[in-house]
Amino acid sequence: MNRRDKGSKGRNWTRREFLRTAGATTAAVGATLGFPPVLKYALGSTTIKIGVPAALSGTAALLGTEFRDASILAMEQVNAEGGLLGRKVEVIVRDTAGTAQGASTRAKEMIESDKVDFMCGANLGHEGLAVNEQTYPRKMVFMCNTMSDPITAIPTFSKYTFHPDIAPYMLGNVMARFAAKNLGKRWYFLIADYAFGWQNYEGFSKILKDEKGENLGVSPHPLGTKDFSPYIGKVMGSGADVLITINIGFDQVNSWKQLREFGAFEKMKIMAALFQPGTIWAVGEDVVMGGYGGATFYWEAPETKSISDIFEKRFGRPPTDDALSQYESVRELCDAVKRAKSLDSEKIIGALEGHKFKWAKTEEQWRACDHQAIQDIYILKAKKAKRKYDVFDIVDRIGGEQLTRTCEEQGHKKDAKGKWIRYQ
Amino acid sequence: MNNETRKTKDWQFWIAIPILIILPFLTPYHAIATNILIIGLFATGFNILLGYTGLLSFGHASFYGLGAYGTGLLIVKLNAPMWTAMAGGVLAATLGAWIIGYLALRRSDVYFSLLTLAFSQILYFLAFQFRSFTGGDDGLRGIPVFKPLGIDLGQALNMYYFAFAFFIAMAYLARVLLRSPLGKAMRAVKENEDRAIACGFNAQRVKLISFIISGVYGGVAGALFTLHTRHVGTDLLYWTMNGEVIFVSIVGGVGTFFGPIVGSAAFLLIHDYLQVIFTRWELVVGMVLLFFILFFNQGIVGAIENRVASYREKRALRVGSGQGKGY
Amino acid sequence: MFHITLRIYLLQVFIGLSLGVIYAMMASGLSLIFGLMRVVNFAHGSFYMLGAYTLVYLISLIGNFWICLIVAPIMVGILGILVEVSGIRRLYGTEEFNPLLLTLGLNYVFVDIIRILFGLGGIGSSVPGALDGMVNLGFMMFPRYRLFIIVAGAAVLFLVWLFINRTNLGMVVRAGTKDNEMVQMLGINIRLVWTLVFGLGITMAALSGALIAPITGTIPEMGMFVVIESFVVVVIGGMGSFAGSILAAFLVGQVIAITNLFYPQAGTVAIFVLMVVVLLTKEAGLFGER
Repeated sequence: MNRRDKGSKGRNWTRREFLRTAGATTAAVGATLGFPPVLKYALGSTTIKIGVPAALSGTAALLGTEFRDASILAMEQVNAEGGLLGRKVEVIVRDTAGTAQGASTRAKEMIESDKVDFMCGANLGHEGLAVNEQTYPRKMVFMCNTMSDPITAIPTFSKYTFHPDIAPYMLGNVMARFAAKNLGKRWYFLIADYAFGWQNYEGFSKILKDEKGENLGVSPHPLGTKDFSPYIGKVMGSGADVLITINIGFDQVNSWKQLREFGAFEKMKIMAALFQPGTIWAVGEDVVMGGYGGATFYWEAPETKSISDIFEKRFGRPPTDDALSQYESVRELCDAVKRAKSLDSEKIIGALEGHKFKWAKTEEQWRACDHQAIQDIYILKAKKAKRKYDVFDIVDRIGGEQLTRTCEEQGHKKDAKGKWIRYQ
Repeated sequence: MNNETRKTKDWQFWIAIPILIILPFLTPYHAIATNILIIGLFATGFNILLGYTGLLSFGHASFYGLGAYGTGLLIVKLNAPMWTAMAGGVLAATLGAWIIGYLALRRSDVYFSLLTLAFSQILYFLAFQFRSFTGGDDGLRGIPVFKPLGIDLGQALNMYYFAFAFFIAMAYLARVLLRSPLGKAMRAVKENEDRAIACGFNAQRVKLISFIISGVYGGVAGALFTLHTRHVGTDLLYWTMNGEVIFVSIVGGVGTFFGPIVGSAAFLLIHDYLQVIFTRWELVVGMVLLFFILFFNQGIVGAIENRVASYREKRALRVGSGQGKGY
Repeated sequence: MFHITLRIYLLQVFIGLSLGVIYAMMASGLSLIFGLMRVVNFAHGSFYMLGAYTLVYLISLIGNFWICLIVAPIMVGILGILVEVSGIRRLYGTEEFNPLLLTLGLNYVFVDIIRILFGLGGIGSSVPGALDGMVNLGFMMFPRYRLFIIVAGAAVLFLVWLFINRTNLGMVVRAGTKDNEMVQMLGINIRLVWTLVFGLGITMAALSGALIAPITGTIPEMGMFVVIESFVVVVIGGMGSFAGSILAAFLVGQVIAITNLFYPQAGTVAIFVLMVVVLLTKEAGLFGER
C-alpha cells in the first residue's frame, strides 16, 4: 500500500501545530461542556414540560417540522388560557433524525436531562416504538403519534401509551371498502417496502378478501425510489381495475407522475392509501388529479377550517394531518392534566380513558382497552385548486369503533373483575 | 516492542481511564456517555482491522447488527437470560465475521471493501424482509429492563458502569493482543504484505483472525446496545452505520489505541450539540471529516501521540547525550 | 401468472435500456476514475444530484431546456475539477483509501448544502413540451422523453468511447490505466490527464442526473443509493474497463427490469448478490484487471 513518508517523530513542535492540535481537540470535545444545548421555549423554571421527539433532519424532516410547529401552537394556546395547575407549559422539541437509535437517545435525554413530565410525538413507526421502550418503565404518559399497528397491541402496549394517530388497519377499513364498492374488485398494489407499506397492505388485502375481490399481486419498491419505470410493466400487465399505491412523500408524487406518463390512468383507477399534502402542494395537484386518497384531517373541511386558519396565520401554510394530529395530542394531554388536577400518571390515564374530545375535527374518543383514539377518516379526491391549498374534495368521511381491530384481536384480556389486564 | 515504546503508550491508559470513570458527569446527560462507550468499543474493533492490519471494511455494521439482533432475538423469542443472550449475540457476530471474512478476504483492496459492503447490505435485507421474525423496520421489541446482580440497568448511571466494565476488559484484551506476536504480525502485514509473507507469516490467516477479532468487538458493542435501548432496529445494519464508524476512527486517529474512544466522544458530542442549534449537522460532520483527512490525517490521538513522542525524544537527546541509549 | 404479453415484455426491455444508459454513464465515469487514478469516488452520487439540481435551477432562470442540459453538467464538471485539484490531489501518495474517505465526507457536505439552499423537500420538475407524450414505436407506445434519454445517453457514451479509443489523449488515458508510472516517464503530464478524466467522469454523472430530473424531480438524497448501484455495476463490469462498465450497466438494467416483472420482492438485494457472485468467481469483475 502506498504511504506518505511520515518522518514525524523527529519534528519540532511548532506553535501552529500545537494550536491546531489543541484547537481540534477542544472543538471536538470541550466546547460541548460549556453550553447547555437545548431548544427550549422557556417560560420560567417551574414549567410543566412536554417532550416532543421529532424528525427534524434526515429524510422525514418535513414531518418533524410539522410536529414542532403544531406543538408550539398548542403550547401557546394552553398558556394563553392560563396554563396548567397554575404553571406554564413548555414543549421541548428534539431531533431524532428519523432513526430508532436517534429516538431512543433523545427520549433518554429528555427524560434524564430535561426532566420532561410527558412525552408526545414521534413521526415514524420505529421511532415511536423506540421511545415507548423508554417511557413505560418510568411510568411516563406517552402520546405516540405514529401510524402504527403494533403500538396498541399486546405485547408492545403499556397503560402509559396512548395512540392519537390512526392505525393502518383503520385506514384500510375505510379506503379499501370504498375502493371495493365503488372502483373495482381486481386490484394490484404498489407499496413502499417498509412497515407503513406492509401494514397497510395487510389491512387492504384483508378487506379485499372480505369483499370477495381479487388480489393480483404486489410490487414493493425501496423507500426513496426515484425511477418507477421497472415496476410499470407489471402494473400495466396485471389486468387490474384498481391500483392501490401505499407510499408517501416524493415516492407518492413520483410514482403517480410516472404512472400517468405511461398511461396507467387510462387503464385503471388509482388510489393512494394516504395523501401526503406537503409534497402535493410543492409539485401541484395535477399530479394526483383523477385519483383518490385517504387522510386523517383535511384542512379545508368545515370542522377543521378555524384551527387551520389560525395555524396558517401563524406559520404561513396550512397544517397537514401530522400537524393537526400533534396539535390535538398536546391539547388533549394538557386538558387531561387540568381535569385530573394532577401530574400523576394514573390519574391522567383515568381522565383520558373513555374521554370524548374535539380539537381539530369531528369528535374523537379514547378507547379504554388500547388507548386508541377512535376517529373519522376522510376519503379525498383531487380537484382543480380554488386557492393555493384547496386541492381536494371530500368524497366521504367514515368513523367509528368498527374500523379498528377489536381489543381481543390485539391480545387484550379482561380479568375477573372486568378490568383490562395491564402487563406493563 | 521495546521498553521505550511500551512506556510511551502506557500514559494513555493512565489518562484515559480516570476520564472515562467520570465521563457520565462530564456529558450533558448520562445516556450519551453509554453511547460513547458502545460506539467506542465498536470502533476499537474496527481500528484493529484498519489501523493495525490495514484493511478497510465497508460492512462492519454487520457485526454490530449481528451482536444486537443475536442478543435481542434470544431474549425475545427464547426468553434467554441476559448473560446467555449476550453470549449468543457475540457468538453470532463471531461466526458472521468468520464467514464474511473468509469470503471477502479472497479479494484485496477495494474489492475486499465492496464485498464487505455487499454482505452488510444482504444482512440488512434479511433483517428487513423477515419482519415477522425480526420486526422489520419497526424493530425488535419486548426486551425487558435487566437487573443483573441486582443492578437496575434502567438507571442511566448503572448502565454506563456496566458497559464500562466490558469496555475496560475489551480494551485491556486489545492491548495484550496488539503487543503479542499476533499483533506484530498484523502490523507487518499492514506495512508490506509481500515482505511479511517472505518473512514467513501466513498473511491470509493473520488477516482473517484480525477480521474475526474486530467482529467480536462489534458483537459485544451490539449486545450492549440491545440492553441499553431495548429496541433493535434495521438502521443498525444500514450502510450509514458503516460511515459512522469510519468517521469515528479517522477523527480519533487510525492506528492509535485510544483514537476510537476519543473519536466516538467527539462525533457523538458534536452531533448532539449541533443538532440543537443547527439541524444541518451533517454538513459540519462532513466538513470535519474532510478537515481531518486533508490536514490532520493522524486524528486527534495520533497528533497527540506524535507531539508526546517528539517531546520525549528531544528530552532523551538532551538528557542522554553521550550516554548512548542507542536507537 | 397473469398475461405478460410480448408487448409488456418489450416495454420492460426498453425501460431496461433507459435504466442501463444512466447506469452506463455513471459507471463508466467511476470506472475511468478508478482505473486511471485508483480513486474510489464515493461522491459520484452527489455530483449526479448536483447535475439534477443545477438543471432544474437553471431552467427556472433561463427557461430553455436544451441550453440548460448542456450547461448544467459542464458547470458541475468544473466543480468536480476544483474538488480534484484542491482536495484529492493532496492525497495522492498517501494511504490508498484517503481519497475514498474524502469523497465520503464530500457527500455529507454536498447533500446538506443543497438542503440549506433548496430546502428539504426537493424541487418538482417537468418534461419539456417538445419531448412530452408518447411515441409510437410501431409495436407499442413509449414515453418520448425516455426514448430521448436512451438516444442522448447512447450518443454521449459513443462520443466518450471515440475520445478514449481514437484520440491521442484517449490513448494516454488508456495507457495510464495500464501503467501509470510508465506514462509519467514518457514525459506526459499525468496530473493534468487525471484532472481532465476526473472532470469528464463528473460531467457524465451530472448529465445522468440532469437527464433524469424532469421525470423524477430532485431531492437532496437522490444520489445516495444510485452511487451504490453504480459501484455494483462497475465491479461487475470490472473496475478500470470502460467497455466492461457499459456492458455491465446494460446487463444490470435488463436484470432489474426483468426481475421486477417476475419477482418484484427481490428488488434491491439482487444486485448485491450478483456482485458477490461475480467478485468471488472472477477476481476483478467480468472485464477488469487488477
